[in-house]
Amino acid sequence: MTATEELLQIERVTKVFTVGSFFFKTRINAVENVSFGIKPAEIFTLAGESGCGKSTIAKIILGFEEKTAGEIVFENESIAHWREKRQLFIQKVQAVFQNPFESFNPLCAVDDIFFETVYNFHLVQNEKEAIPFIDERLKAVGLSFSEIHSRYPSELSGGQLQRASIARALLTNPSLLVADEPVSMVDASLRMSIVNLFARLREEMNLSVLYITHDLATAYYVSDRIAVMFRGNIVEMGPVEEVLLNPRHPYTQLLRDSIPEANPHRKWKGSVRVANVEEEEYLQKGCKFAGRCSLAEERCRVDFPQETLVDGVLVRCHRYN
Amino acid sequence: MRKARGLFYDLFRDHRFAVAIVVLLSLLFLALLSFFSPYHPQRMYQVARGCPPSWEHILGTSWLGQDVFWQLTFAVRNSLIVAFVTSAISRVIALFVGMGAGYRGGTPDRVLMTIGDTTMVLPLLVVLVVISTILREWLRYLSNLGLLLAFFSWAWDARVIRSQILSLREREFTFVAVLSGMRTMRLVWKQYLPHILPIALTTFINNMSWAIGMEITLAYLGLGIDPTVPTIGTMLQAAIYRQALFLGLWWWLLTPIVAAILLFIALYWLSVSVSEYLDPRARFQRVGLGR
Amino acid sequence: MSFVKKCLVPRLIQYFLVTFLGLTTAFFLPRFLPLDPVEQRIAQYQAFGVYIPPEQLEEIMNTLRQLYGLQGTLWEQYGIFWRRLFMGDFGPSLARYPTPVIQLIVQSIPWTIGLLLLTTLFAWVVAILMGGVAGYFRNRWTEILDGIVMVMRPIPYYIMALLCLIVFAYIFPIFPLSGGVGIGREVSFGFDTIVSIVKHGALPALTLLVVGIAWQFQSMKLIVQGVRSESYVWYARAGGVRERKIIFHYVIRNAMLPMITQLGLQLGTIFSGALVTEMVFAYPGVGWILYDAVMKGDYNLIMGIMCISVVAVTTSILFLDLVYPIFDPRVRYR
Repeated sequence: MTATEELLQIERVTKVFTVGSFFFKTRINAVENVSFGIKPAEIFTLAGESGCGKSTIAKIILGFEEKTAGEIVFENESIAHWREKRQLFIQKVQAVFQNPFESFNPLCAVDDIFFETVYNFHLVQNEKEAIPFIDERLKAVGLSFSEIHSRYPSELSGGQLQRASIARALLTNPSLLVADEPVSMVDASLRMSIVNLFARLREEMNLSVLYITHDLATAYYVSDRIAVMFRGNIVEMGPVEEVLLNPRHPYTQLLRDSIPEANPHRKWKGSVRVANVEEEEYLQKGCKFAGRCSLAEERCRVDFPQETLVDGVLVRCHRYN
Repeated sequence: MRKARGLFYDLFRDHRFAVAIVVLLSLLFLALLSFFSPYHPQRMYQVARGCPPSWEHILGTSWLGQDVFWQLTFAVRNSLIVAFVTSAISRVIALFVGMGAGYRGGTPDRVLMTIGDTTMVLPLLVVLVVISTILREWLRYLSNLGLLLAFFSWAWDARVIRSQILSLREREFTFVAVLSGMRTMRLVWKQYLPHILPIALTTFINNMSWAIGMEITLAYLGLGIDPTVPTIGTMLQAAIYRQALFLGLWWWLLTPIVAAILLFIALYWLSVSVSEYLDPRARFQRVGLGR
Repeated sequence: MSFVKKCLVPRLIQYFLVTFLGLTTAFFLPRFLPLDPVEQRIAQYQAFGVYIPPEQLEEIMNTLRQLYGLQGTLWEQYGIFWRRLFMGDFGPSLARYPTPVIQLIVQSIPWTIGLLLLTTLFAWVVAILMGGVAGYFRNRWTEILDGIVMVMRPIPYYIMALLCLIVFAYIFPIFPLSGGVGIGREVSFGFDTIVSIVKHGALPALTLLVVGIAWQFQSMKLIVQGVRSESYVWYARAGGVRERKIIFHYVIRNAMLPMITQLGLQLGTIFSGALVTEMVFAYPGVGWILYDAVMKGDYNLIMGIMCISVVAVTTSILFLDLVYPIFDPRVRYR
């Protein structure tokens, strides 16, 4: 295990799901040979459409799913090592999820979970300090303790809940925040303030964020590096300006072209290929994008493309092999 | 406290709940009266035989020389005891099994569920008959009957609880709870229990109903409790065995039947109104907004 | 072909497994209880004042053990149990010695099956239709119906049977009090016999029907109420599909599916209920001979009935599971 400067290093991680029962199973490679690294104080975006495997990776990192193969190293220790020191790991790696209403138990008050975190990780010396501590953290996201005290999730708005969610995640001063589509269910104005919050935390707290999204606009706005995923593979990865302004992989190009622009003179692409059945696409031999790619050739359907480095950007496409 | 009062008020608006509570309270009152009974429940020939209802004996007397009314008070009390014991024990088992199997998963889950399934598939009556025939002596005590019945009724509820937990396990607040440092036991207890209690409550009430029904059936077969101990079942059985109908002593036969029916209906209405109240979807339909 | 392998085989394996477990439980049940039926029997005899000389006691106990299938070690007994089972031999009935148990059971099964099959099917169909309509519409009639069912449903089979007995055979002596056919009649295929059978079977059938309908009606109504507000129903209505078609082809058809699964789960209870009803009416089905067996302590008969019941229930559930794809096209094309 070579010591690196990376905070989190993922190497050739694979996750295989078996669908079906008894004698007949189909194996779906939800995540296939995915490798990337996140440095300290870096916002790294994992982008892709629904069902491409990004949430699965998040769950594997957090320890809610078991990887089938590959290595994960956090702070120079393997994930196996961290499994024994689970509480310590959780303290350093926190998460925020997509649905603010689902993130809180509908039958419990919202501040309950705050107190849980505080007590379980001994974040304060005695009981009296708990409330001021929590209040201070809430102020950082624009809330206050009185706003959430004894309130049930149904009594608060999505925006408030999502901010509370983030505040809870930051209670333990983590070094890595896994944010799984944190702004998808939140309205536009709040979206920007949350994303700005991430940027601020990166500067002030040296926080790294694994920002999972399908919204390329915010990704471009806030992240340092980006990896684009398609059906379990990373198809392009590099600095965010390079990848989004000058996409090389046909899929990234498609994504960039799909970003709606308030410009009546610029229309969406003429011909769009509709996606195949998800399961079939996963099981395709060769490049998984071949079914939708307008530039696909014969060899794309047969050979699986390898990664190549092009101008500092990692691309997985036969056109660059 | 304010919440509890609001809850009751809401429930009372459902007339089924109101009626059910009234009936149950009256039956409970009857059961309590048994402590003041002037007659010993098990001795026979204490009063004149076969008298129709009169001022002296409100519900008449039986052919065995017992006052039907006072017998009824004991019967209700004992039947309620059996029902309560059965439901309480089986709820506890179901909760533990359901929560354990649901959250742990894996082998213990499969083993428990298979055991549960087998108890469900076996035609209960026949099995109870077999057990009762052999354990005749042991079964003479009320609490033992409750234990036996409890053993056969935890399975279904455990399954329901388990599937609830399985779905709760996948919800995001579970992940958040884990990320807040909660350990398994504490998580299941604090986070899941509030979700499960409503179900446990309704099935508790249903279980009581079932237990009484079973007790009556077993008594009819002469299995189950000591026939001289008055329960609704034994009263019924005594009346039938002694050919109450042919003797024209209809009050002797009708009393346990009516008591049983009242009990069943009240428990059922109670469980329906409570479950509809707790499950908002059902409430929605009751108000007719589904149209 | 793949249907057979994918669905049929695992399901069959499960069936045999559960039946095996059930029968094994039936086997082990009396053996794990702390009391020995043979000793109990002897005690009973002695309680009646029968004198058994001590030399013969051993022999009698041995014979009894053989009869009961309790001879030898546990494994030997298990082996004997299965061997006998495959030959359909449950030993002789102790109360009606030496009539073999299997004969008694075979004699009474047709009555029970006839009663059960007819009433369950009929009740189910009626309840689905009634429940479907009641769940769909909401007018005075359905409210009244609902009210009636609310009172009927919690009443267990036994009480309902008694009620029917009292009301229809005692107070208004329309139907006979007991039996399957008139006493002393030969079971032939003449018209008279059929009338007699119907008359005697009417009340048990009525009981099973009423309770069965009450249960299914409630469930169906609730399910239909849920289905009614689903998006595809709105869509169909907006698309101009005729109301009648919506009710039957969309709502009821979809609501039927959970009902079928429910039916499977309830089969055990319905079966027990039928047995109890038979007991009340002395209807010559399995229930009645069970009652008789209990009264007379006929151990072999009870065990035989238990095994048959287990097989009957698991087989019916299997049947339902296999028939299910006919109703649910989603499962069909897997």
